[in-house]
Amino acid sequence: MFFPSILTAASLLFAAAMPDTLATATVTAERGTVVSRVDTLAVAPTASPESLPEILSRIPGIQINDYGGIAGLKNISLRGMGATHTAVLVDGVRVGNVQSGQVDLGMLDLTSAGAVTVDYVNSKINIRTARPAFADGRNFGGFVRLGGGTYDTWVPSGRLDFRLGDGLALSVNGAGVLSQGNYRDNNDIIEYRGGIDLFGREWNIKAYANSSVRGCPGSISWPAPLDRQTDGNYFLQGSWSHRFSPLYDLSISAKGASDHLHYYGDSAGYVYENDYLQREALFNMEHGFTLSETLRLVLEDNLQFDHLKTDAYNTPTASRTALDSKALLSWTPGRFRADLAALWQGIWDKGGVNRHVLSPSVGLSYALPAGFTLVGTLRRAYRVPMFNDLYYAGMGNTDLLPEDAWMSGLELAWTRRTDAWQFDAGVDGFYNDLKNKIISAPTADPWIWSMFNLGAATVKGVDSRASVRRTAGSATWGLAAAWTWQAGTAIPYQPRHSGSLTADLSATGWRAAATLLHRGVREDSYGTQMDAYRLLDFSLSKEISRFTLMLDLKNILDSQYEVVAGYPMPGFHFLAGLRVNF
Amino acid sequence: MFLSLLYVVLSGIALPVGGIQMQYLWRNQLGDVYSLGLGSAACLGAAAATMSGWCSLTVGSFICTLVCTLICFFVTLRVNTQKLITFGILFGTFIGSLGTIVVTNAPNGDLLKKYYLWGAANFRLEEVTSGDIVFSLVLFAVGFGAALWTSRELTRHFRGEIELPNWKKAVSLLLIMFLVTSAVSICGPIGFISLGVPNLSRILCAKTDIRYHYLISSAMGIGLLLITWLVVNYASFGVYLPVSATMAILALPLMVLVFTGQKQPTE
Repeated sequence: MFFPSILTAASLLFAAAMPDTLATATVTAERGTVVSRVDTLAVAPTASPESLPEILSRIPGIQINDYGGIAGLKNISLRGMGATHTAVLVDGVRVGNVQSGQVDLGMLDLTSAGAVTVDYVNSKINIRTARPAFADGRNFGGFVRLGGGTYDTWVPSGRLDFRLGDGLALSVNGAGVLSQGNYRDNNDIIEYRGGIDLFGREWNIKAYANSSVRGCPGSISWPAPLDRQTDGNYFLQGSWSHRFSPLYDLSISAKGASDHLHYYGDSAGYVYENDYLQREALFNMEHGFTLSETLRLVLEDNLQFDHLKTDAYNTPTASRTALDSKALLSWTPGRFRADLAALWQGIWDKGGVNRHVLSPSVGLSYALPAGFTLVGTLRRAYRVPMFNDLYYAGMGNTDLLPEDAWMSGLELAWTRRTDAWQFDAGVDGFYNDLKNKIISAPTADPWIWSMFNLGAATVKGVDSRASVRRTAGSATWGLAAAWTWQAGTAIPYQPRHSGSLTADLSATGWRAAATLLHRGVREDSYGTQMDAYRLLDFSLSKEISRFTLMLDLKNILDSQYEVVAGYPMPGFHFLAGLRVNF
Repeated sequence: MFLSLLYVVLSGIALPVGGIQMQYLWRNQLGDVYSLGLGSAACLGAAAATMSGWCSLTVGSFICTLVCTLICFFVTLRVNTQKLITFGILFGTFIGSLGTIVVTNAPNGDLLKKYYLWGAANFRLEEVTSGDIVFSLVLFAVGFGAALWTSRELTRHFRGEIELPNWKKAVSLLLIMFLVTSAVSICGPIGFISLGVPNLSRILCAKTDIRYHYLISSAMGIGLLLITWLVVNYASFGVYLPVSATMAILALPLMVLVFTGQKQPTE
């Protein structure tokens, strides 16, 4: 595995040491192998199904693009690089979308997540399913939860855990989202998700299904009161890792996925329907050679095959075979650490253009005295056009070039731990230089749009954060602040200033948390300036024996705002719920 | 491209697994799927098919390998392992010589080039038919299934707990040939991977259960072949690089690092 993969693996190793149960979903933000930091974002599950995307949005440098609340598409991007540059993984295995390259966080079951790892260096978000934790002598556990609130929203969920043997456990989970979303017309959703996870000591298998029917209200300027979208997402994946000797370890994972999307559109009487059927198979392998106490070599191969059948493209089918081969050498003499990596990507589109590229990366860190760490990273990021970019009827452009970026960062971090106190702080500057950015723009005929390579774009910025946590007996409280300054060219929806303030307090079964989020002025994809907004959320829960009562108050300031232009977000709303553990 | 990568993966499994089986069968770390002249036989068959045009290169390669394996099969029934190895070396030389005669008498340069490109094994799969593919996949399934089926017995034989009778060794040899030919008949002989990778696996993991080495050898075989395939196709700097030779060169630093890096693990 390469630097990117290696870093991810290291992230996972770090995450493995973190609490990984349903009691607390821990979000960890990292700079890669060399730096592991926690943004004091461990939160108890709330009544709201949107909780994890919201939590992620408090991490500096992360942008959640939300197309309209509970039913809307939600994708994630890091440091202005766009959602297509951000990989989303479930239990270390990538969630693919060869159609648009953007993963809808809404299709993933986040209620069973035990840990989320954010890897800035490699632009990866890894969602780890919580492993079952059994009380002494028990072979069974789980919970059911029901939340309900504004906009006729109901959110049932549940999970059953079974101990099948020593080191072997089965988890069955399901969740639903039913909402009228009636702060807009045609904004309803009915969504069901379910999964089965089998956990061994060194392996796990996951089967997952998601099915949804939703209204697609469109943007305000181009409303679509009758448009509907149906999704079906299914995957089966497994991973296994084993250390054969102090010298050698091996990890293998494989996945098969099927995704179906049906879109019904009715534009002023012009009715159209499109089907997209994606099939994906991928196989990953990672060899680790611990050559000495200071030297480690990792080799990784990722092989992926995607096939898409649709009636919306210039071609009825499209398929892509991709191979990533990586090599990473880590050298850790004392306080210094160096990671050098080379990633070789080959992408072959049937009937299309074939690409291959070598992407080097380097990470250097030095542990300074008194808990300070200095980290520098440099990486090349290469993103080939997705099928929508290439083949979409009337818009696709098969002459598109891949996006090619250099991403660099320099961070100074500080951490201090005592028995009762935990302090974290850091300042992280970054500079991303992107060439051939892919955008949609009008052709010579202003009514006909197509995909183009924009040319060059740069994103530069500073992420900063500070947090404190105090634990005294069974009581704990924490404060966290984050602020990002970001500037660049032609990157829509990236505010120049954004920040968050978070406070939480837990004691005697009570838990309260408040978040104030600020998003500054930014521009939409047409260059039109969008207003700043502030959001204040509050959640309260009380645990009484096996029962937990939960209340989430969202957008208490009743801000009228849009994350994506033309897609208004809900004003003040709430969700209350009851969870029963057994 | 999908098919090329499929055969990179398939070869990455078939050849190291065949190699580790040979090492266990002979209790000798120099065991290799080509030790009994199977590689030479595959080349002879491919050469004969190419020059004569009687059948496809894949079928010719398979038939010749099968004939040679059957000869080895009957020899195995009658002699001990040490004599078998000696026989294999001599037999391989003999078959190789026949191949040389066929190739050097090629009717024209085009046929010679066609044969050579098959032997260079760069997974281009030129002129491979869907029938060839199905045939080789069946061979692979039978050979790999047999490898799993006999794993416990081979492990016990390797540990010295039992001594496999000659007829079982002969049958094992035939089934190893199925596995090896599933890759070689399509892609040509690929060296190093069936000898170096199993040995690397045994250095990295001292466990004697052959199933561990099936896994490690397969994973390493796939990984090394994929990297090598990328290099020969996209970083050859204008020089034609055969997979076999390139892989041996690429794996050399890894071998050196592993050999010199640490003490060997113990089971």
